[in-house]
Amino acid sequence: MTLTHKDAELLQLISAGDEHVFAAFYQEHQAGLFRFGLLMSGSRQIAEEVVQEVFLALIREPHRYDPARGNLSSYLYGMARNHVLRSLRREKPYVPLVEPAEGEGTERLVTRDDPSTETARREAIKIVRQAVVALPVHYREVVVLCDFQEMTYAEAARILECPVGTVNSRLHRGHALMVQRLRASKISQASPDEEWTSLLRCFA
Amino acid sequence: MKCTDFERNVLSLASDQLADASLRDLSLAHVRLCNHCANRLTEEQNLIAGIRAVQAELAAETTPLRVELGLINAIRIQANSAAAVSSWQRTGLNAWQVGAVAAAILVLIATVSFFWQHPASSEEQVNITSAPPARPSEPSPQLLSGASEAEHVHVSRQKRVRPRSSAPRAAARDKEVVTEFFPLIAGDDLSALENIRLVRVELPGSALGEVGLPSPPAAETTLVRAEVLFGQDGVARAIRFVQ
Repeated sequence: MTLTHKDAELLQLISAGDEHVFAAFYQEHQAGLFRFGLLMSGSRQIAEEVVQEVFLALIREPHRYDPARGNLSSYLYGMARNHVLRSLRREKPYVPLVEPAEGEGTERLVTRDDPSTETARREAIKIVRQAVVALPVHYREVVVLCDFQEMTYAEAARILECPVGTVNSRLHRGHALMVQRLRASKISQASPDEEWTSLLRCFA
Repeated sequence: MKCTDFERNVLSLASDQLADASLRDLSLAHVRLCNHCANRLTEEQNLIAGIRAVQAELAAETTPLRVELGLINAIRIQANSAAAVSSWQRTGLNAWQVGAVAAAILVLIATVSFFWQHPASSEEQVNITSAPPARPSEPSPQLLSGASEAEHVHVSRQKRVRPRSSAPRAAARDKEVVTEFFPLIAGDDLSALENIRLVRVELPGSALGEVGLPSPPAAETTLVRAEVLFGQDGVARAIRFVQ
C-alpha cells in the first residue's frame, strides 16, 4: 500500500521490459494476491491463475491503470477480485470448499505441543476457512480484505467500488453469518460446549 | 448503553481496536449487565482468534515459482515486440501508412482468392449450355478424334475451371479432347441442373458402346477416361469421354 506517486513510473519501467523492477514489484504483491485468491475461492489452482492473470494484464495493458482512481495496489486487488468472480462463476460446481494446504498431511504427524491440542487447532482452522468460503461472495470479499488482508474500510471500499458504510455493514453481517456457521459446526459435531470452547481457546 | 449501540462496536471491541476509551468502558459495563451481549462478545472474540489462526497458517503461502518464471518470459516477449514496433517507426512510416499497406495487402489477397475459387461453378454451367447433349440413340459425329469450335472454347475455359491443379497437370489438360455430354437418363434436361459436380473416372472401353460410340479394339481390357456429371441430388446424370 506504499505505492502512490511512483506507480506510473513503475508501470512504465515494467512495460519497457525491466525485469528487475518487475521481480521486486511481483515479490511485494504476489503473496497477498495469492492468499486473497485462495481465501475467496478455496482453491489453490484458482489462486494461482488469479495471480498470473493479474500480472499479465499489468504487463500487457499498463495503460488501463488510472492513478486518479486509486493506487496501484488497489488496482491489482480490483483485478484479482474480477478474476476470482469470473473463475467462481465458471467453476462453481467443481470448487472444493477448502483444499488441503501443501504438506498438510505430513504436518499433522508433527505436533508442536500436545498432539490433541494440535489436532484441535487444525480442525478449528479448517472450520473457520470453510465458514469463510461458505459466505455469500459480497460478504466474503469484505471479510477477506478487512480481516485477513488487514485493509482499512476505505481501502476495501476503493477496491470493491462501494461506499465505506457498505463495507462496514457487510463486515458485520459477514461476521454474524460466520458465527452462526461456527455454532452450527459445533452442533453438527454433537460435541459438548466445553470441547468447542477449548477448541477455540487454542487459537488464543 | 443499549444492545444496538453495543452491537455497533462489538467488532472493534473484540479485536481490541476500540480507540475511544470512554466508549470501551461503557461497552464493557454493558457486557457485565447483559448476558446476550456478553455471549456475543465471546463469540466474536473466538471468531477473531480463529481468523488470526488462519492468517498465521496462510502466512507462508506464496505463488509457485513457475508463475513468476512465466511472467518474466511474458515481459521479455513484450519488450521484444515493443522493440519491433519502434524499429517500424524508425523506417519513417507512420501508423496510417502502415495501416494502408496492410489494407492493400488484404484487398489483394481477397481479390486473388475470389478469382481463384469463384469461376468453378459458373464455368461448369457454361459447358453444359454451350454444348447441348445428344440423345443416347444418336451417336455424335464429333467423336474422340475431333472437337467442335464450342468444345475448343470449352477446353480453353477449362484452364480456369481448375486453376488449383499443378502446372504440368494444367498443360496436360490443355491437350485433352472431350466429347459432349451423353445423358444417362433418357429425356433428362441437363441445362436445368444446378450445383453440378464432375467426377473423373476410368472405364472399360466397352462403356463407349453403351452410349452408341464405336468401341476400341480389345474394349474389355482397354481403359478409357470419362467425366461423370452428378446433379445436386447425387444422381449421375450424364457422361462425357476424354482423350
